[in-house]
Amino acid sequence: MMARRIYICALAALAAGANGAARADDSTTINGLTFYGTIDVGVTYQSHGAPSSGYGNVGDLYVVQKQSNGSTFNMAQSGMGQSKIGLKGAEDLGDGWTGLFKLESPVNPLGGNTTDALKSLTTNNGVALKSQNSGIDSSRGDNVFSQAAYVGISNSTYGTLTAGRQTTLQNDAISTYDPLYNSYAFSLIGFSGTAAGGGSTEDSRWDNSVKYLVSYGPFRAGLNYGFAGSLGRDDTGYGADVGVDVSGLSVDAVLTHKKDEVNASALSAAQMLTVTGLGYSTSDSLAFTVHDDTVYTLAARYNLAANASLFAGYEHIASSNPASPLAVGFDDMGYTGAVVNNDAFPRTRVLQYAWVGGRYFATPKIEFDAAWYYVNQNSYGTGSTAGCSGTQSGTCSGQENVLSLVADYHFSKKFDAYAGVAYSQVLGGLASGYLHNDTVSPTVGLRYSF
Amino acid sequence: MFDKHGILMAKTAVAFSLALSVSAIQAQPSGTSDDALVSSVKTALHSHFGGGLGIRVQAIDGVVYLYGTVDTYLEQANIEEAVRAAAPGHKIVDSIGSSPN
Repeated sequence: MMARRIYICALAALAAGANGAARADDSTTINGLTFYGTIDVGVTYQSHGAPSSGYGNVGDLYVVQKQSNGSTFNMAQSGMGQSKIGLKGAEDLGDGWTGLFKLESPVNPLGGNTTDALKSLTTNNGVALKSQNSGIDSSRGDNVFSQAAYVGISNSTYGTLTAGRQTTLQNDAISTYDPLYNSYAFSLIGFSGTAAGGGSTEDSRWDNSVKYLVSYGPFRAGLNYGFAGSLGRDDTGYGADVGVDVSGLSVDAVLTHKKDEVNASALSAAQMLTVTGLGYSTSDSLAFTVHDDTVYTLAARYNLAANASLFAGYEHIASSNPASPLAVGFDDMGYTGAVVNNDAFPRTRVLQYAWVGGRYFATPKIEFDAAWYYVNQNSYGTGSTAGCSGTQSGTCSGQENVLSLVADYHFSKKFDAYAGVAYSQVLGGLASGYLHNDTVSPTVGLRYSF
Repeated sequence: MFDKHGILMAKTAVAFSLALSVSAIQAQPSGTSDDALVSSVKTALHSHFGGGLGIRVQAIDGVVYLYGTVDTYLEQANIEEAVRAAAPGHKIVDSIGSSPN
């Protein structure tokens, strides 16, 4: 907590200084240091939702989840874009070289706290599904700079190398090619980090990682590698990206392989007893499913005109039981893996994501966006659930559809207001254990960027 | 029903991406004046925002194309404004995206 306070005070001091020396282009940059951020607040209704979580970076269930239950009308945060504050620097080293860094924290403007998705999950520990809040898993845990913390060096010819905690190439591609800006309130691949994380939302950002990006003419390439983290956790990973930009067209292909990916969930009442018996605190313990994943993605964006763009993407995620199983008690962003499942995939699970959408500026200030997202899961069970397609098991084949429309009015470069609606539906195995299988979620909000 | 539609959509998305890739590879490279335009825009971006910005610039037949990701909508608007000042009278096609949430 002290580290958070120091960080916030430092940013506030820099902001005050930056405002005093603001440049004509509105950037808050002084001596190569830039203070930046976004504050996004609104209201949202879900036909099947849950009470807001005050801790998660995604405060409401814009897309139907297991605990989506009765209708809700809540204040919303970060509907269009993650609320955040950040500090980044670029130092000219001469001869075309630049030293750079970034520190970035997610913020919940409704409570004034930095967000912690895993804490939002712990608030559902032992709570019956129908009474749970909107807590869901994310790559943002009990780490102050959970959005980004890295240092690097860049050269216009030789490329950019960064090291630390940073987004993966897979996450970068998902964000670049999502017609709905990776928004929590309207985009499936923004709300759910499974696509950006290549099987696990927590792996949309890698600790202990290096990333190299280079471009030559219209072509570009990237490599990233994640070193193993805490003791006993062989969670190495690698990714590669190739892309091309020509005449308003961008295309990228990304390959990622990651070991020991984890999905966190709240403890059931029975698991609470087990965890207590093991001597762990139930206030910072969670249940985890562990898997290894291989992912490939192909996505494109094409500008039909200066004010209109089309987007399309496809992602294939293959998940299997981990080659290096995790032991009970491992640490995950400040929380304890007190219940660990290393055998969740009797056969390889394949998730296929596909999406199409468009973005249109009717005027420089009025923007309309639309998209359709689709997910297909194979049947990966054995025995009595082999080949099933119903809701009797999460291993049955299943589908998910999300259709969204958004209008955004940009009052200025810094301030905009948005309104939109998302409809989501899950079927078959992807609806297993759900209280309801669909929700309609209209959201309106205001966003300030600096 | 949804399964069939979904698979069809996935195939369409892949076909669409591949078709766009082919058209990109077939595009012609820029001429000297386009090179000068790119140089002018890159100089302006470096002057305004320093190095390491990560924005890629192309010019084809006098049209300036911008690619890359930024942290905020404000940053994107500032970049576009700087490019318009550096390339007056030229059409700007902004394909800059938002950084991940």
